[in-house]
Amino acid sequence: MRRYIYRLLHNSDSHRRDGLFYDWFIMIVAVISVVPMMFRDNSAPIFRALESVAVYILFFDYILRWMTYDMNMKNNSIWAFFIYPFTPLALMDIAGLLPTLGLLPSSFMILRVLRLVKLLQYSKSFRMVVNVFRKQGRTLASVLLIAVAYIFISALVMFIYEPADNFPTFFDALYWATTALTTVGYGDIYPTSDIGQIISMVSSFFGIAIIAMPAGVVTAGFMDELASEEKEKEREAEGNE
Amino acid sequence: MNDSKKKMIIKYAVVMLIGLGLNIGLYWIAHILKLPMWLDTVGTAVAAVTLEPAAGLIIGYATNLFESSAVYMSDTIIYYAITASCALIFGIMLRKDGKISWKRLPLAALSYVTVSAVLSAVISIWRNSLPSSGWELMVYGKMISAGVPNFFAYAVSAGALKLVDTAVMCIVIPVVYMLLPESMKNVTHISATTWGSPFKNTKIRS
Repeated sequence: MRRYIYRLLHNSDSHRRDGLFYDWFIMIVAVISVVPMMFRDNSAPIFRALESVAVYILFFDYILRWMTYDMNMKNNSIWAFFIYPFTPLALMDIAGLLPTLGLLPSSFMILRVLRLVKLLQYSKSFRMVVNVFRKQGRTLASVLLIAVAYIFISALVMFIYEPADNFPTFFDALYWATTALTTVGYGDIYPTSDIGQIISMVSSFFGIAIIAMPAGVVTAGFMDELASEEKEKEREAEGNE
Repeated sequence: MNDSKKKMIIKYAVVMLIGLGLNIGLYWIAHILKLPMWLDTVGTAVAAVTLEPAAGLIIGYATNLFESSAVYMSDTIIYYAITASCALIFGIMLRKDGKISWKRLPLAALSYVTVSAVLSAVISIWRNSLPSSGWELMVYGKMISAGVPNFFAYAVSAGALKLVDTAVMCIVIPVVYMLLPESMKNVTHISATTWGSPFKNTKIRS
């Protein structure tokens, strides 16, 4: 029975109908469970009922995952059952359920959004994105470091050259640099001095390049992931023949 | 679907339905007659012993789901931890060298009473609620008035009820197990590794 449950839960790579149905079912339930959060007045009985049913289903899914975790770890050790509740995904799962069950104070209600993490667990595309971020982690971290340094330098230069009326605090300068670099530009804070405007222009040019870099890294990583996925499929097909 | 698979599905479905029926039926009897016991885990233990602990875990969840949605509040679903401990303790401890060893029943029962009393105390304190059974509440009240610390009062009151509960279970589980036809107990397909390494070298036979 546990083996069947395991195959049902970790099925997205094969095309078993029952497993695919289960994946979709849990993803839909996870999305439905957060629907009441989209309404200001979500105390209506229908919302409560909807959320309760969804939580019961998601809790059951949590239990099924717990009881098959040793198979997931492939080492078949009984310690897997002790480790499971402390794994990041399990913690997020249970944290998303406890507020509705009244087992956490109402200030923790926001944790209910963590139920959407189920989409990560069950969706193959999401898993691919996570893989890309995992593989390209170091490159992305380097790019992020450059971006943060660039924001910091632009903000500092602007803070020094612009009148105090425009940028009263360094935080304002940081805020301006971030919104300008990411091309959001709310326009509530802007330079007025000649030097400030020149810095702003230069900053915008380089900013576009810096912001575009992570997008390129992620795209390249995603393409690699797709290619390796295709290769894996071809290998499987050859094996079946 | 081949015949053996069909038979296995039928066997699991029948035993699990019997277990669920026992859980809910005996719970109602105890509830209506106001007996000092819960009896809502008898079927869970029967399924865990007859089939495998996983089957007990599933029907235990179904029972808790019924109780929390139809009788109590939704937050009582967390008491599933006690039901799960019942399925695991009876399902694992009663198996020795591939056979059901009834000699191990007292040890399993004692373990279950201890674990369930502690779990019950922890959960009740977490929920900040008083014991829901009248009998449990009576024992709890006496403990508190005798100056026993809150946690121990919860644990002793829950343990007292669980002791009576488990004593009844120790009679009912073997009886139901004996009454079930042999074909329902055929669990040879369960691998030795069903519940991890401590049971790696055991093969479960009917």
